[in-house]
Amino acid sequence: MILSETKLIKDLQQKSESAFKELVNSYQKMVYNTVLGIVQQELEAEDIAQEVFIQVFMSIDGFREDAKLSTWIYRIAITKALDWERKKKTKKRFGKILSFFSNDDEQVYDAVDFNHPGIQLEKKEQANLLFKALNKLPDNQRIAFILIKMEGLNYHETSEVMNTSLKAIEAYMHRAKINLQKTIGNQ
Amino acid sequence: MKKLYSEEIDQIIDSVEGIEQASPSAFFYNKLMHKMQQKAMQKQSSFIFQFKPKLVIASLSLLIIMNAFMLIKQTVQSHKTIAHNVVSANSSYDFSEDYQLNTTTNY
Repeated sequence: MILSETKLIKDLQQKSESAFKELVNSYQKMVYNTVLGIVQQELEAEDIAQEVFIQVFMSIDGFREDAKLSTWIYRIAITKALDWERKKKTKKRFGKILSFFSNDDEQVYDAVDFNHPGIQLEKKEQANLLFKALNKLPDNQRIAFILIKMEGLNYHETSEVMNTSLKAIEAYMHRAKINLQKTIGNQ
Repeated sequence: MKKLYSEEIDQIIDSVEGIEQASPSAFFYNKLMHKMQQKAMQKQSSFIFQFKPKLVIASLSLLIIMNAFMLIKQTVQSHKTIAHNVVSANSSYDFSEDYQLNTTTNY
């Protein structure tokens, strides 16, 4: 039986383990898929998804119930995934310089082709092209596109997650489509 | 490379619509609990390293300011001592001048 959201939040605030398990079971797919859409690496996405739940557990006391729990969790997941991307870019940028000063040969490589496990076989090739093009979009456009096209949120829900107006989301999606058309057309 | 037509491009853009949700590994919750336990243990064992960077920066700044203050104070004090020595040296010179103690006599 699924606990009601208010009760779940109260139990989480009292650090109940069963409530935490309920939360993870209810939201793990949502978190994992959102993060996976952004980072495009399965192992990393799982690791980040775990970090999201740890963050939720640690800061549930500060959760204001003016937003839905799912909206709040989406925000944490997006922030964590984007933070991971920024760190990866920085690591990659300085990787070569650092390699001069250490014997550690560890370097950051991009995944060659991302195959999303949820894509049907006949669409895999098309999806590969799309994921490559998505990486070239500005963050706002990319997040709006992922939430609407992959997570199936409507424009209103997306505006709540991204904490912006409905018009802004429409503009992000419009620009995202134009940019994707350009990038894919040039590939 | 063959040129893509706009219809094909639109198909590519729509290729993720209705995507099936992927599932994390079966042991997702167990791994998560393990990670949380590890973090809790790390927190206990390294108390000193859990200070936030802001606190560390503030402490270091305070230390630097205190050192600078002490340095300035010491410099000012040493200047005062030198000035005092010069004044006292001058006054003893005036005294000997007044009483003509500096003049050499035959006695």
